[in-house]
Amino acid sequence: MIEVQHVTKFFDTKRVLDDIDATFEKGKVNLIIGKSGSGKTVLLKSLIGLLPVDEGVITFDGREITGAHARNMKEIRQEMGVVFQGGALFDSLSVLDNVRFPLDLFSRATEGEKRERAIASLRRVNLENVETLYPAELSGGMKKRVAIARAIVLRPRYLFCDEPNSGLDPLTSIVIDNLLSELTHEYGMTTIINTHDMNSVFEIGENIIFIHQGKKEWEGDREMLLKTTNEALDEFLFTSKFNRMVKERIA
Amino acid sequence: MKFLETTGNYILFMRRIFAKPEKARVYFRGVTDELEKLGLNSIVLVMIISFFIGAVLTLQTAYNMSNPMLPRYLIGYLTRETLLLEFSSTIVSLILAGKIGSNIASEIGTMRITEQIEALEAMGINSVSYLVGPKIAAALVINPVLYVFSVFVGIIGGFLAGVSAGIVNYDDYLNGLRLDFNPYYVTYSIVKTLFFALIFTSIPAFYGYNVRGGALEVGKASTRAVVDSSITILVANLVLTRILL
Repeated sequence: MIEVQHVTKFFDTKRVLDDIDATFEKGKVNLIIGKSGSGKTVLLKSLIGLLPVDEGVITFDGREITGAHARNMKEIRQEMGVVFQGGALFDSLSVLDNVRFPLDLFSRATEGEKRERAIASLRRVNLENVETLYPAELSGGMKKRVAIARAIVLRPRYLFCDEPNSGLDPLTSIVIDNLLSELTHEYGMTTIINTHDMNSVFEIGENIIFIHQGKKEWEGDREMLLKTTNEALDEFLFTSKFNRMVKERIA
Repeated sequence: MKFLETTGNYILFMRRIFAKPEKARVYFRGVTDELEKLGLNSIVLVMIISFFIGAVLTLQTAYNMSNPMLPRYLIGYLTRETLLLEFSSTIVSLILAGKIGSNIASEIGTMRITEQIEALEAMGINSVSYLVGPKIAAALVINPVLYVFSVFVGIIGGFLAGVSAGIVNYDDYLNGLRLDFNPYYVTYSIVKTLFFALIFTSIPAFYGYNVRGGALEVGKASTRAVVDSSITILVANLVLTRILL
């Protein structure tokens, strides 16, 4: 479980996160949603520890990361898997080397074991016979799956995904969403996904927080979304005629 | 003010390079990869340039020795001295600052804008040390080797040009090469190549690492890296020459 208490972040004098409180539960797909520029990526990067917060506390299962000693932070980082927006695969490494990269640095397993674990991780994301390919030879969906395989190869306790569906077609997006949901439940991870994809919100969101202008405006699950009275959230979710029509039909 | 801020950031950046590596074996593998990328891929270029510069040096020296009182072996002597003292260390390093420097800045800059560096940091890896350390180590190894190659190839180029043009014979050229040889010049030049290697890898890496934005900024960082590392090499050359000679 990851807890965020009174987190505030400034960029110069601009307040990009304003007194955020949130709890991200273990074994659940937690979503951070919001418009572009709302502060959700800053929140995600603060959770990963890539951006220091100016005020507030972030704890990972009771372990505080805000102001943590570098050594302690390093230990927590090895329990994290991160899937970046574009995949962030290392261009100079093959798919197999990308996936086994965390093992090379942090595992004492033999070369054979590392290879087996990397291949198993690739199989888990439904990728086979791509080990020797390079990132430039992969489609967008395959890149995301390789990035997920790399993120889970050390069996992390916490999985962070920054807009995993950006640039993907709807069908591939659903495949990625379902994969992330399955992995979360299978490994009992605390998964936090940053998204503004409506399909993801309604497909896999178990605990959702809505960020608006740097503030947490709303928190709940996907059923509660349909009944929301929060104006900003309603505008965000149901701006399109189609979404509004679906909402009215359901209502 | 901006210069002081950049210099301060560069010093902090250099401190992170020399942090203890996460896993020595992985870093060692990085060094061998960089030796190939930075060194072996530059050998042909260095040899071609050295050959032709050596040849031109010989021809120009001969052209300027119109006084019949001057012995012909001076052609070999001056070619050797120029290559040994300045061309093969400083000029070759300036060429490498262009070739390797732009490569490093654009590679690391692209890694920055595609979040690959953030991916390393998120894994708990010191990205500066991991990405830049092997490049510096490889350049420190390969630049003195390239220097030696350059001197030899330049001398051969000079010899072939001189002999084929009929302006110097084999014995005179060889006598010139042996004349008044000071081994300290080699030490002096190798020390210079080590400093220059540090400059043409670390400055582009610094600019690449601090890229913000997109492809346009990567291009700008690459250009700035080449310009700044070239100027720094020239200044360092002057300072080192003043200290060492």
